Amino acid sequence: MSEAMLIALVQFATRFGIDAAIAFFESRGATIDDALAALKKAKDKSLDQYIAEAKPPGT
Amino acid sequence: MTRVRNISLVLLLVASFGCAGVYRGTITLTAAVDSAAQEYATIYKYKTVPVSEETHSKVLSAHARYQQFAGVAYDALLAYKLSGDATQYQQAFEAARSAGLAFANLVIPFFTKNKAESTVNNIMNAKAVL
Repeated sequence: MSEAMLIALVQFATRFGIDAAIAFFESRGATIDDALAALKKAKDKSLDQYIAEAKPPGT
Repeated sequence: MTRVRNISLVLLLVASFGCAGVYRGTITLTAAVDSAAQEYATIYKYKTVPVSEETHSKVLSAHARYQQFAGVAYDALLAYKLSGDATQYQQAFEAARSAGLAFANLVIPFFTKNKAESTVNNIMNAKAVL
């Protein structure tokens, strides 16, 4: 990542939050197979699985 | 001066990403809901914020509904990949986005202000652009 992109990431994160910034930047150049993989995870992973995998806060 | 610089950066971002990543909306939506689910799971499991069983039951149902619509969107996107017809995918994506937003609206009251805002912003801004 170039210096300009890093600055842009920090600015974006300051304005919209780090999760938004990461999602936004990671999705640049996404392919249809990336989108399919994301949707497959979304349809397959239940909230009970998220709860089972949850780590204690701050770890 | 700082404001001008910030505006310039925003314009640079818009120009840079306006034509990049046609599947960005899908990734943004799923990442936002995934992050919200992880956050809620930690809150519920470790009781960092009290969640009533009634509310938890509603959250479970909302997430299951999101999973259902994500499955429909998956099938529609797979069909698009094979046929090139994007109509069904765009409709399925909107249904998944609505279900994701319904789930998020139930869990964000337990989040910090910043986390709640970023979750909703991400879901609201996710668009099915093909």
